[in-house]
Amino acid sequence: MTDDEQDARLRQALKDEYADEQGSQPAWEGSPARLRIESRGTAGGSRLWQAVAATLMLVVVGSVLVLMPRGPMAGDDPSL
Amino acid sequence: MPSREAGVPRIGLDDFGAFYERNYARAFRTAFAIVGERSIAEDVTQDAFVAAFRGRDQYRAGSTRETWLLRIVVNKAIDHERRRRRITMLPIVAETSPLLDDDHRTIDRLDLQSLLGRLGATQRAAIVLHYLNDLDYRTVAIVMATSVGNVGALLSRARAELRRQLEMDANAEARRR
Repeated sequence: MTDDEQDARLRQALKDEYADEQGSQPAWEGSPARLRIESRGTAGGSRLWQAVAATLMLVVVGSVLVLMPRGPMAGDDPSL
Repeated sequence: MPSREAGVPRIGLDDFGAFYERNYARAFRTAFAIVGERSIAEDVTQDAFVAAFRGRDQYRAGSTRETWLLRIVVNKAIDHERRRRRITMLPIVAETSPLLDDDHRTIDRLDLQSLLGRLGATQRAAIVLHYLNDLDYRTVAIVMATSVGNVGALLSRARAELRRQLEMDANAEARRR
């Protein structure tokens, strides 16, 4: 098979695969704000920031729980 | 006082809606073929339109508006792919290669996405722009902000890599039989 034939096969394969793809197209309403709202925010960057925020939240909540002073509990020696 | 040169067409607010409607599908297809996942491609496409809207004053004559938009889409898709840093390879589908054999079978979806996924993001972008969008080398060079010679080298390496992957798949299948 010649390079030209291989090129033609590759071109056809790509067109067969993607030519009919439209995507879910949000309506344009005069500004990009609507796009932002409808965007699902699943891109890698968004996911990364979500993971970082969740981790920070866990650290903060965990620190508060560990450092929080507690009152006397059953079994504690009252003379101490 | 606007800094734009006289006579340079800009995309006005009123035009942008029509520009968006006219170009969304192509932009999405380009992003989808590069990133390989529909939901991510939709995000990349929408981010690209938001960036294009905000930067519409930076559009300069010398390339078409469509080329300018594709440049933004491709940059965002490549950036995403670089961030993603795939640690797992897509499954290798070991079928006799339709790009290598002569029986005119069509390559199936998983084959093609798997093969494209094994190329680097820049090579993938060059393949998508040239073969899917039918852009000539010069226009691909403009979109990718590189030289025509570099586009030729990128495509040549990408084709060689595809051929190598297909041969590996075919050999793996032959060993299993």
